Amino acid sequence: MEAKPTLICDRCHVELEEAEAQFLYLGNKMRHKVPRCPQCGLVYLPESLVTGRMRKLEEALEEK
Amino acid sequence: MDQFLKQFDQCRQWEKPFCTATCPFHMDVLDFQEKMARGSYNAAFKTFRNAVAFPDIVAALCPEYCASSCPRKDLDQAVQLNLLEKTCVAKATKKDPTDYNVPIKNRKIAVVGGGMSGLACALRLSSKKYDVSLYEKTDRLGGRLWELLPPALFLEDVRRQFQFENYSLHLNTEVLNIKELVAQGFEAIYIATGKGGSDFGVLGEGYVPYRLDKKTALFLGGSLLEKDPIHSIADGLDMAWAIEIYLKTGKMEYPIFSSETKAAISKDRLQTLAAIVPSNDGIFTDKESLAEASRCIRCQCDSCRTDCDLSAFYKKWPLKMRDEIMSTVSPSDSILHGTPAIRLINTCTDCRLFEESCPADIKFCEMLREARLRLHNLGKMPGAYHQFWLADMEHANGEFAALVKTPPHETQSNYAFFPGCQLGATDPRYVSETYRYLLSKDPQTGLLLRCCGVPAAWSGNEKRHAAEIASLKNDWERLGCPTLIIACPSCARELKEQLPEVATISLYEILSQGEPLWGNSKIQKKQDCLYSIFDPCSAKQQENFQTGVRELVSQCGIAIEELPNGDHHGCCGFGGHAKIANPAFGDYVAKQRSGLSENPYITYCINCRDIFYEERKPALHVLDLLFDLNEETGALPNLSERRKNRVQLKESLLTELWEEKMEAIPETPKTKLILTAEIQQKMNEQKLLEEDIINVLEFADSTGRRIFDQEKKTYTAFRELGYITCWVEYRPVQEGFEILNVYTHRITIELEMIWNGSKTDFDLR
Repeated sequence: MEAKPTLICDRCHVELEEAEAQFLYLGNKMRHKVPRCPQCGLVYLPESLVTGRMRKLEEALEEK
Repeated sequence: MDQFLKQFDQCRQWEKPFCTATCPFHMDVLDFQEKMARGSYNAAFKTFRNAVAFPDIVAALCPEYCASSCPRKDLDQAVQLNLLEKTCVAKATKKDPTDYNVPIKNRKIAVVGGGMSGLACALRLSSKKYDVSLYEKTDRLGGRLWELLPPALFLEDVRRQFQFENYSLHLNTEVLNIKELVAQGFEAIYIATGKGGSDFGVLGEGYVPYRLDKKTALFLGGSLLEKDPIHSIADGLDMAWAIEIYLKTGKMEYPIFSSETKAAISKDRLQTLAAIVPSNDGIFTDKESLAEASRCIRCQCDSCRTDCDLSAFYKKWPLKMRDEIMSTVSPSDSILHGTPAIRLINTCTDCRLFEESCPADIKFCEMLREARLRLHNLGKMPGAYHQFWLADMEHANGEFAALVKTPPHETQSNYAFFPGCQLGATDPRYVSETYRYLLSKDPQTGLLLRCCGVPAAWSGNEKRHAAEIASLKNDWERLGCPTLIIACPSCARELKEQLPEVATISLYEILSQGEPLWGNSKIQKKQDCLYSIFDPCSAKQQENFQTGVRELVSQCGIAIEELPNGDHHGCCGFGGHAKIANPAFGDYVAKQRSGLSENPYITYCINCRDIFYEERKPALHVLDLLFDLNEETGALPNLSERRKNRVQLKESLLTELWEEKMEAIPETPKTKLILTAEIQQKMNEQKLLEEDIINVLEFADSTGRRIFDQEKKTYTAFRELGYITCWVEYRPVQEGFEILNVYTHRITIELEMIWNGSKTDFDLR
């Protein structure tokens, strides 16, 4: 596990917390816990998630 | 799509190989050889036994009919299948048949004659648990086998194969009148009374070897019909099949032996391999049988499998791909609906090699192009696949890059140079130098800078494609309908198909005409090297491109060695814009094409040259030679620079040749980016422009939507850019923004809906 950096929402000046967000691709909806601003809902997706699980999911949905 | 489905009726994938077609038993030789080649004698024996019923007898008697049809026979020597059969029979350790637990069927069948044909029929039917009675007039089974083989061999084989079967054997019982058997209630009778035996009047005048007597089906076969021993056994098995069909359906079908097959093999699969001589008493050793089985090239129509990059990369046969494609483009309410081939459809490079290879004339590339249209119309085309190239086309056809000009100081053009949209993007000099040269030869030559519209076709957007074609036609008409001098073979193919009324000529054909004037230091330097000409896939059947380039290279005094298969190869990986949908495929194809020859390439499609540059395969565009431009290797401009190159090309040509000032000039962005080479590489891979990054940063700045990393002291921001979401990690510095990381995804974050104001539901928080 990589150490989680301290991430701050630059607008609300609060620390991001793990919360569910909803995603959509090719008509399929998914929910996943990601760091989010507890006030405004801004999400943060780290590169490891984007190039890892998200890319795999994109490819899987394109061949479903 | 229906017309393509129909074409697939002719697909020869399942055609029998030549040997199987000639074999009286139609043995699955591919399966047998595959098992022999891995030394699985028991498994191979099973395949053999299932086909021939009596493996020891057939291995001993088979005269190898298949040798006459083996494609090896004209090269070295046909594969020695009979020796492999003998080896298999000698080495198999599990030779007993399987005792299947099949329900007994109370259907009475008589077999008249206990020779090899009758035995084969009786064995096959009794193993399926029919009530079989075998009548033999002598006191022993085997008929002619007593004259051909040692009794111990065939009697043991007969005993072994019948060991689990129950049937009534009537020795010393000569059937004199077939009516007696009919009266006994037999539903079918196989008459195999041997050479000179009675046909009980079935043959009659018409010599038809079957007849229905009341409700009893009578079939004839074996040496009664003057068949040789092997065909007699095969007859027995075939009649067992015919009898079963009759019992199940009431139809009389007499199997007709056909050795026809439409199988096709590409000749280059055949390499000379001397036949193996068995060292041990006519039987191969393990090593020898493996070597002999490996001489078999497993004849099957498979040029598509090896030639078509899609088929080779996905390891899928076209028939399988057809089914996946049809399912993907069927409407959502269809029971066939699924989307297994969205990516596959967008992975085709449109190289048309399949059409060239397929002996059944299946237009697979066309089918895939049509599938893209369907996918788009059904709303199932992932926008991210084609977004970048559509925007690139828009740029090439937009006010900053497109140019439609009659020649300087002229109002009419006889010819117009149409270099395509990528040549000037890679290096503006390709276009400017060539155009100057063309003007010096014919001052009536106009210029048309724009895209041919093929990206719209590849994106499946029919409407947009039609609009691009109409706009291209309009530009051409504005120039006075000149003959277009085409540099890019892809544009040439597109124009031929979409605007056949436009007269075109290959740039290279024009350049190669007249007195050759090519002489510069680069050419002199290259005269010592040996090159291969890499014909772009779109230059297939465009002889004027192929010969023009060869003529030019020869005029330069440069030696060439043709590629082993000439132009019979696929795309470099640029075609169809497949690389975005499937990056691994793009790499695979680029590697395949780079490896066609050790020689450096000379090509005449800038996309091919750029891809070889990326692969570090030394390659020149033929214009590099003629106008002393780039070397075989070097750095490529990044995507932002490519667009700048187009603008610069237009601007410089307008100023220098037409003495005009460019009206619209793109704004210089206020935000300054500091990009390392690594980041630029990443941006290139993800098809991101500097303006995209600036877009994300400005959005973050205006909305305050960014995340601050307290440890690294960096910001991360994202924004949806069309169908992709772009993330940028950066650090503001005095000179601008230091970009630390960029990444993109296609999945959309639903939160965006809230931010953009189109949704007021805050339940996602």
